[in-house]
Amino acid sequence: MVTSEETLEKIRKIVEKHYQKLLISVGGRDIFSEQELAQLEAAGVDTSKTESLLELIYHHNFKNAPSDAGKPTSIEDMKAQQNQVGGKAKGEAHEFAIKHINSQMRDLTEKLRADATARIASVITQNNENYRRNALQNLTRPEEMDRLVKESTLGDLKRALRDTSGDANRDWKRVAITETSNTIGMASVDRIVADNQKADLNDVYVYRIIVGDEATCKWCRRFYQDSDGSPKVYKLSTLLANGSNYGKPKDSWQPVSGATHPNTRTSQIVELKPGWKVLPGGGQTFIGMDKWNDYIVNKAIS
Amino acid sequence: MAKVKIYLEKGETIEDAEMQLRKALDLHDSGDIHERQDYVDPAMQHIMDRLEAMHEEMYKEMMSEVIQEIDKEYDSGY
Repeated sequence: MVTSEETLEKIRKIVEKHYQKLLISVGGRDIFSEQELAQLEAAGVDTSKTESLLELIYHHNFKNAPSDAGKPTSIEDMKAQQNQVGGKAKGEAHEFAIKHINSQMRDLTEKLRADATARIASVITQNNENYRRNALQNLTRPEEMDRLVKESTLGDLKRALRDTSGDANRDWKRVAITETSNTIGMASVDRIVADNQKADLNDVYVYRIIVGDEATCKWCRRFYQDSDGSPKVYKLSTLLANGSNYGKPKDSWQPVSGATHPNTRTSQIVELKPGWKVLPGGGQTFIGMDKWNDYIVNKAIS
Repeated sequence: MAKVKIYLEKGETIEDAEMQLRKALDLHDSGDIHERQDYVDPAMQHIMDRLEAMHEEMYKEMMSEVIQEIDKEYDSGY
């Protein structure tokens, strides 16, 4: 059987509707403008959800340093903490950060929607072509045989459509991991900057804890782990100046505050205060200001 | 220059070993090796699990609707 252009257009709208619902589930209704929300409601999409997982990630990583005891370990714990007075950072800077995170997620999800639509359309077109060519070769086929061929083609089409879920789920996972990592980096840097309000960021030192096992890629090892197994220490200004590796070729990747590369499950950026030394594993020990200057010079900070 | 010693299993050729070594190096080179990791922060891992589940559920529902449309067309005798 051949799927008509009319049905294909209905399918495009179904895909669009479901990806918009996904965005509302992930980012809350604020991810869309009022005008867009009105259009979605008219199309039958439930836009009542206000909770944003992205906002949850941001506030969790702004409020809780890796070494903090008793920090939330689940979504429910995070909500409980953030629903308390003072549980969420307030102010324009944070609102802007969340708007940026939402906007980034929306753009990337739009690309995924377009990819999913193209994949599904391609499966349908291929099926149409197969049936058409088969029909051309069997013009005098009896009606009953034709019906059986149509049913078989329909079965193949449904199977092929369901098989697109593997690629779609994998692509979504990549986006979700990368954007979660970007948000973790942004929120932890925001906390460090807020803690150093009068400081020159050239004088603020930071590092990232990596797991350092065989599942760590060469980039994370090279950028964040020193030869003695301790984390590499950077000036915060350096990481911020490096911006993002998004869209760059691998040989241009640099140490950054967000996701180093797609699929990275990064940890926060952690501050190293003067007088402290970072140990393998990311813990810190106090060495005093006398030893601090030698330590920082020997650490070859960039 | 670094050297690598390769021990071949019975029946394994040097070409097989070379291919496996290249695959391993590519995996580390691409960053996709991280797919095996969880987030160190359990709260972030919980979020990731939820995000993955949301998409899987959405895609299944979406596919059901897509297939319903196709069935409608087939049943109408197109």
